[in-house]
Amino acid sequence: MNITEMGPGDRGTVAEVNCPPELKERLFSLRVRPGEEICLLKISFFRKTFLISAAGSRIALGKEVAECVNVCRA
Amino acid sequence: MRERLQGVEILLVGNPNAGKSTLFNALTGGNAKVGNWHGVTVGALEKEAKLGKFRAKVCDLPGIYSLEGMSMEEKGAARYVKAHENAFLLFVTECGALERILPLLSGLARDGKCALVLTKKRQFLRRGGSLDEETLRRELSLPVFCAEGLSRRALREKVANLIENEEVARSSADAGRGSVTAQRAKRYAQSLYGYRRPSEELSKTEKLLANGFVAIPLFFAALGLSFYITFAPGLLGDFLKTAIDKFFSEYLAGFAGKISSPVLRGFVCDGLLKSLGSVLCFLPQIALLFLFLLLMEESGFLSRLAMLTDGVFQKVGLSGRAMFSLLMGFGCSAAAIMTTRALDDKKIQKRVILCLPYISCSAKLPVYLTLSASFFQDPFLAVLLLYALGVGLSFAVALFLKREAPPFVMELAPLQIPRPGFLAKSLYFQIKQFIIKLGTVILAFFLASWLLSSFRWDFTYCAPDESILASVCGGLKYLFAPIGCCDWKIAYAALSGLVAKENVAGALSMFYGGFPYSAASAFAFAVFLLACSPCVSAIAASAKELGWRTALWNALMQTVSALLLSYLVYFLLTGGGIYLLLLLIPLFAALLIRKNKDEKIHGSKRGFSSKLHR
Repeated sequence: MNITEMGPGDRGTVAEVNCPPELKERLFSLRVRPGEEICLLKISFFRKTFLISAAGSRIALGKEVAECVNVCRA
Repeated sequence: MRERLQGVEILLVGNPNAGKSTLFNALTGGNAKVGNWHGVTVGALEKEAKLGKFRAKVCDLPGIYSLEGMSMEEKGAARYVKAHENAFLLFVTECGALERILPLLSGLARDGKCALVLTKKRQFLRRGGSLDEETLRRELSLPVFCAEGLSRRALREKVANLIENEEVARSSADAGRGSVTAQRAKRYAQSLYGYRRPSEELSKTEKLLANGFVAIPLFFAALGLSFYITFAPGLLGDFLKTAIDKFFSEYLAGFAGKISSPVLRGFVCDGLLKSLGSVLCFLPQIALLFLFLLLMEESGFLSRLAMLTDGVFQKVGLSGRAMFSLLMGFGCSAAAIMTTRALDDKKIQKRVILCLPYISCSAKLPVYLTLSASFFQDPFLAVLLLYALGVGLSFAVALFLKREAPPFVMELAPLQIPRPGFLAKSLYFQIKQFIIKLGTVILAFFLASWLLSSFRWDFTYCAPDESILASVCGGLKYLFAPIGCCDWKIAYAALSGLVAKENVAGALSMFYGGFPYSAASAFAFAVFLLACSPCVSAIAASAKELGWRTALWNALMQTVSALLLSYLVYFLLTGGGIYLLLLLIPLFAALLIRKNKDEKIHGSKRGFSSKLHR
């Protein structure tokens, strides 16, 4: 499943990131990369942005980006 | 005998919003812009500082997440570090983001020439994190210290000692082994001894401000309140403005009125007091608006707004990250244009730069308030209307230029109570900049305008309509004739806004005291100023990003379209709306009839029958 299929409070381990290389590099540098644990904190109204916690930081992802990140539920 | 100082170069490297600019200001005594947003610093900033026995060139770089960064400023910063191979690197990181700096350390560390500076430790500890500096020092094999709580003097001494000790260590190190620090950073990233991440849970305030149904109304309420306090009659902004206005127009003008020489009296009253006073009296209101912007940014609320409004920005081909630049546009267009470097690519940057002139900067405030007296009793509503119109136009332009919106990825700045000291310092800096601008560019313009509008070609004193300026600018009177102002002085005032927008208010005061035409003309004129090209500083900032040809072309197109828009607004306000309606109704009807005819011939593309007969 991807981040958009998680609910607030759900944890998961990133399995795969399917997006263009530059965007992938940005996500990796923010510790949203395979093997890292993330937690979905909040979904904005109309499910447009997803706020996650990764390596202690709060990262906001747009819906299209969140759909690119596949996670295994913890 | 004076000791000769050794030269050294220091680069401040780290993720965005780590505290590099704050450290830069502490080491150099500089005034680099700091803020609670990822992407405040957009270009390398250099300043000399005396650190112990070293004469250091300290360089503050934009934040980098990785060496192959996405944004233009990241790419520039990474290139800068690689180009300055002999520089001492200070890796600055907030304690909560230590894991993220490790790849940068591995990629850029230079044995004997780097150190790790930790910031925001109190916040990190409050959120349940823990960190042992000694362990970090040992594991990474490089100096580590926490900058939080250290005075400027202590910081300078610390950095000076570091450089001195590292110079000694480096000279005795075995250079052939490759970067030990880089290898250790990679190893440490696997284990993270002596480090515990802060809690992931959102605090109550964070939960509230991440909720769109709370945060968005809160933003509009705060905006409305700040406008109300700033512009409503009798409240703080209006009270201070009236006080300064009275000081110039009654007290100082009273003295100047006693000058016997008509030329000198004209110079002091018209050239100086009326024009300068008409701009300076708005300083309290400009300062209050700046304070609101500072509060938004420093509290961390701005990044939450950017997250919540990304959906809206996506509809017009932008992303929530443009929020920062657009909000900065309410302060200064030139500064806002520079912040667009933090955006992801040139195409989006260009679109945001094209939208920014429509966001009413603080320099337009004096002229809005001067004009609003002609068409609105309550300046609060008038200014609110003009600001809202500007934002609407900005979005309309973004929609017109719409392309695919960029992906939205953004780290949220921590929520914090704005520091009074920081607010006071930033406000003082903005006020100082305004007064310097008033005392130089604007004053020089007013003096030149007064001289040219008070003397004939034979240097005899005269009324403005007989002056040098009248003979040079007389032809401009037709420019605003379609809005009921067939007057070269109005056109001159409008064009003076190209130098600085404040000049418009000053020029109107110098020639008329206020705005002498009808309410419809005043509103149309305000619309022109809202939509026209920004000042030369903003055009220059735009040229730096897009090239002079593009910047000048954009400025010309904006001015021409602003003129046409002002003509349309005047036409609508003076009864032309009815004629427009009479024209549009048959047009719509014709379009509707044509559409129905086409559907009867070719069939509806979305009709239910097409689904059955597929």
